[in-house]
Amino acid sequence: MPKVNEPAMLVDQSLCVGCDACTVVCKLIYDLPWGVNRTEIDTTETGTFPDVSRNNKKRACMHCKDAACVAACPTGACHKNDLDLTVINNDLCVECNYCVTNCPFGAIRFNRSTGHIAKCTMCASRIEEGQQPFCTEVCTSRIIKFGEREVMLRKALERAEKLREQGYEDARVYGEGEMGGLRVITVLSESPEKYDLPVDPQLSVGMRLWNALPLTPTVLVIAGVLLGINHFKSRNVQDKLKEVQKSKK
Amino acid sequence: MSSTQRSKFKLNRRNFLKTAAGTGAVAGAGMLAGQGLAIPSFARAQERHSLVEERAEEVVNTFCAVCSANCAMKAYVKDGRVVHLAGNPYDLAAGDPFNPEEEGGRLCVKAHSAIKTLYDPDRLKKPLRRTNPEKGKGVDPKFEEIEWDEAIEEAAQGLNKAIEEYGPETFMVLNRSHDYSVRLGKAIGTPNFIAHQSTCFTTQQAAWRAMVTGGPKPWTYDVENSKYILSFGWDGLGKGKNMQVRNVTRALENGAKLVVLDPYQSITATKAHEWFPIKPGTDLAFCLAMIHVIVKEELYDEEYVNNYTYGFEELQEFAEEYTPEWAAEKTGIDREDIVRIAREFAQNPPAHIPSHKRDAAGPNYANSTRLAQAQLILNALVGTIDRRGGTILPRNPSMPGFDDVFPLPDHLELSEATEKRIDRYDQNNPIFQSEINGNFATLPYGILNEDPYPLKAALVRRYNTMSFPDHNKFLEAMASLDFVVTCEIYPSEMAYMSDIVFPEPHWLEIDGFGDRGYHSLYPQLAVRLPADDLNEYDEYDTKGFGTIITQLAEAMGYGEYFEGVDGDKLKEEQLNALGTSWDELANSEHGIWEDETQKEFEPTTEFNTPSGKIELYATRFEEEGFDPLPHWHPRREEPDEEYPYNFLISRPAIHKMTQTQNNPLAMEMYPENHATMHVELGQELGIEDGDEVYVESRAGRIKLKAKLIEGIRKDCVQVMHGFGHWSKSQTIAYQQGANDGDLIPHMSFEEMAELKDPGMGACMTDFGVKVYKA
Repeated sequence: MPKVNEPAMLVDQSLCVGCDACTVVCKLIYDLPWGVNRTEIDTTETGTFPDVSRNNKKRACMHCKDAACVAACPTGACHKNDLDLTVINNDLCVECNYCVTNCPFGAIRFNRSTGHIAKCTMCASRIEEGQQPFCTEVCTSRIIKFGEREVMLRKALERAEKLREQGYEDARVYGEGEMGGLRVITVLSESPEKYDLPVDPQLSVGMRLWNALPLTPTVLVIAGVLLGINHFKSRNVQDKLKEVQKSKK
Repeated sequence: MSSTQRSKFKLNRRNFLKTAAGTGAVAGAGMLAGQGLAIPSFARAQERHSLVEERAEEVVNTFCAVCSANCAMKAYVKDGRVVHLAGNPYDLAAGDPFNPEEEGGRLCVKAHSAIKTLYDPDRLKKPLRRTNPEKGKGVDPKFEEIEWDEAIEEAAQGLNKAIEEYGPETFMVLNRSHDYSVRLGKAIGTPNFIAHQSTCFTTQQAAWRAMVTGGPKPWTYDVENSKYILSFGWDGLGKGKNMQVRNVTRALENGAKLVVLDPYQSITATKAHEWFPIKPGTDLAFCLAMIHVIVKEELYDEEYVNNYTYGFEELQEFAEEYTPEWAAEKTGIDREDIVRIAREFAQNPPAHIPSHKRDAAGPNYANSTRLAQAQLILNALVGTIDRRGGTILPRNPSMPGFDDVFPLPDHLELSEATEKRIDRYDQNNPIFQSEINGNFATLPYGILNEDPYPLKAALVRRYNTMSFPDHNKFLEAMASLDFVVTCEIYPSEMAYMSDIVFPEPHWLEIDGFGDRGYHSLYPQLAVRLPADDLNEYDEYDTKGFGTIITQLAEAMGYGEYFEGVDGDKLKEEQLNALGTSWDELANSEHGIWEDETQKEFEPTTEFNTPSGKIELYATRFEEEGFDPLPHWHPRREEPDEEYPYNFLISRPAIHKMTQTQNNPLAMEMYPENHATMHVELGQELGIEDGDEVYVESRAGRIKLKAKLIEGIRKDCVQVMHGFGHWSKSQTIAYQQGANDGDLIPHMSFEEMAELKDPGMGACMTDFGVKVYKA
């Protein structure tokens, strides 16, 4: 496919069957350890019998324009790349976990036992090579599309309109303006709460302030201390793991 | 599974691998890691590794064998290992040959995760001999690895001993019908070929056979072209199957209406415009009332009914008594809704009721065959049998069979044994006389009561003991046999009940070709080429089933029956009959053969029934003493005071029956099953979400965790199938969850005969259960 300028993904959650084909392929391709995923499916049940909704949500990085993880990162490991996609440079990462705790979508995963930070990059290197993200290519229900943001947004709005015509009154597009605009545009057949999505996510004032402070050296010192603490904590965990492993032998 | 358990679970696995790599103490697995058998590690998940297409050294055309859909795929091979599987865009099942470039190819989650089964260190690698004579649940067979010559010789001796001492009928072949084992079984002279269909689809098959095809049930649902899809427990979306998910999501995108009747809110129900939690076992009443409305209000497709169906007048008279009021009382669904859905179904063409295996018309209840009949009648009334938007009859190419290519020399004969079968499958269903099916529900009764004779030996292929109704009774039956030989890829529970176990290769290691099982719109074949071969490593020594049977036959003294038999020759002759060859197919770019001339859909106008029409009034059933019309019949066992709740069984998208619970990826996504029930039922019984509970039926009880939800009827308990493995050699599957089969009662021959069911269904959920805190 031709190279895209404003890459975006369209996820039609109204048709996601939650089969985990995307989760599994992503895990295989990026060789992610047990319990750590770049994308996964959440299921949320709301209502009472027999008026019950059970919705699937593909939980992965939304690639926010105003990204809380980028703002939170003390070392610049978590940053925006040339395509304005949020990616992490693991060489700079001190595993402080701030990105994990500040993400409004719970889309970043940290596994202490492996020291592994995992988040969706929208398969940035595939996009650079003119290919599509893997989940787009493998989605069994074909509800993950990829292309120019403008086009994805238009398709999403059309689909939401169609859903409303079919009686899904609360059908809407999520991501047009949230967090300054998301690069993952989602079609919902019901309100965001019914997918356990934040209704009006904002980059907090504290986070904006933290990011604006001209205190890089201080931050680095603090980061250094945190890194130290983290190092000992990780060693502790790893020692314990070794013990368990030994006892299993 | 809680997070702590998850990590423990993983540790065990990692430990196993490390121990294996470090000390070589675990038989067979020793050299695994050293020789790079693991999937190449992408250290710290480097992004460039996602460029699989460019990095692959080789792309191999093959097709999936997880289910019977046969989705064609491309296997990407890097460093000699399969690293990624992608759907073949030119295949009817996995892609869209009418628009391959744009639509691309897809696979289901089970195919993607199959790579982890191929490289599972727990797989069987060498033939095994049992050294512990004691057999039973949880008993370690104390296997030792032996060489093939020895294993074949011992298996031949063990089987021959039983056959010579007690007669050929005391030997059973327990597998899906397969050319090689059928020939061996018939050479020996046993009537006992036993397969699983009575637990899976004989109810639907009987109806199709009598009313439409004179043969098998079709599996192609062209619902992407439907305007109205009505599901009775059909969960095409929830099983994740490629073509079913594609077809339904496309239909929904195109504005089709989806209505689901199911006591449990299946994935398909969550996507439906309307979900009716119908009372279990009453779907037949709903269908009968629909027929009543459509006939009475003359809403049927007159052209189709007049030209292509037989028995409409009888149907009119028959439907008179089944009023919507009557059905409302049976099903718990309002009369107004029944009438409205009947009208909508008839007035939004093309409308269709797809039905696949274990949905409501599968062998779940004593009235399931009748439900299958009623669904066929409804589909015929709206004209969607072998029409776009409906179920399409298979258009597979016809090729010479095994017996045509390898006819027996004149002096040899295959026996059509006349003894009664050990499962008495033949007792009252002439409709299936020509089929090699079987009855899992009555098999334990026959073996344990030695009725009509004692069974002594068995040859088994890829059936797990856990797939049988009344699992514990079946284990008792298997333990009573003198000698059992099993062909498998895993040290399964059936392997644990065996005296000799033969290891087979994984489907990504073998070759062949196959038709388009679940989406055969026109004649198409896909090739299967080996994507890897683990026999290159010393610790692996597997052989294909055909080879095993040929060698076993030779050792047993039936070598003559296999003289000249050669898998490659069979492939060649079959393909030559289609005007192609193995070389041409194997070397073609996309590994697909198709008949271009039949790409355009030609609707069938004559059906393979006595009248040549779709028989609403099934004369074949009538001739054979069954009900030609699906009169109302209740289920066999209503829940009662002692066992007050309905039992429901389903299957998650990522698992395939009992075959995937040792796959680390599948188990990470779905590690165990639950007793799923309504929140209020939990409260009533003092059960909280996550509590350990017992589910008990008159056949047995199982212990598993409770899961409380809103999307299920308050009088139901649902359990997912496939869990509760007890073979310790499957280190990941071992003791995760519990087995629903422990609860399903088996049946005596009399009980089965009393049902007068031409579909001979095993009544997999036709009983009540109770639930209590463990």
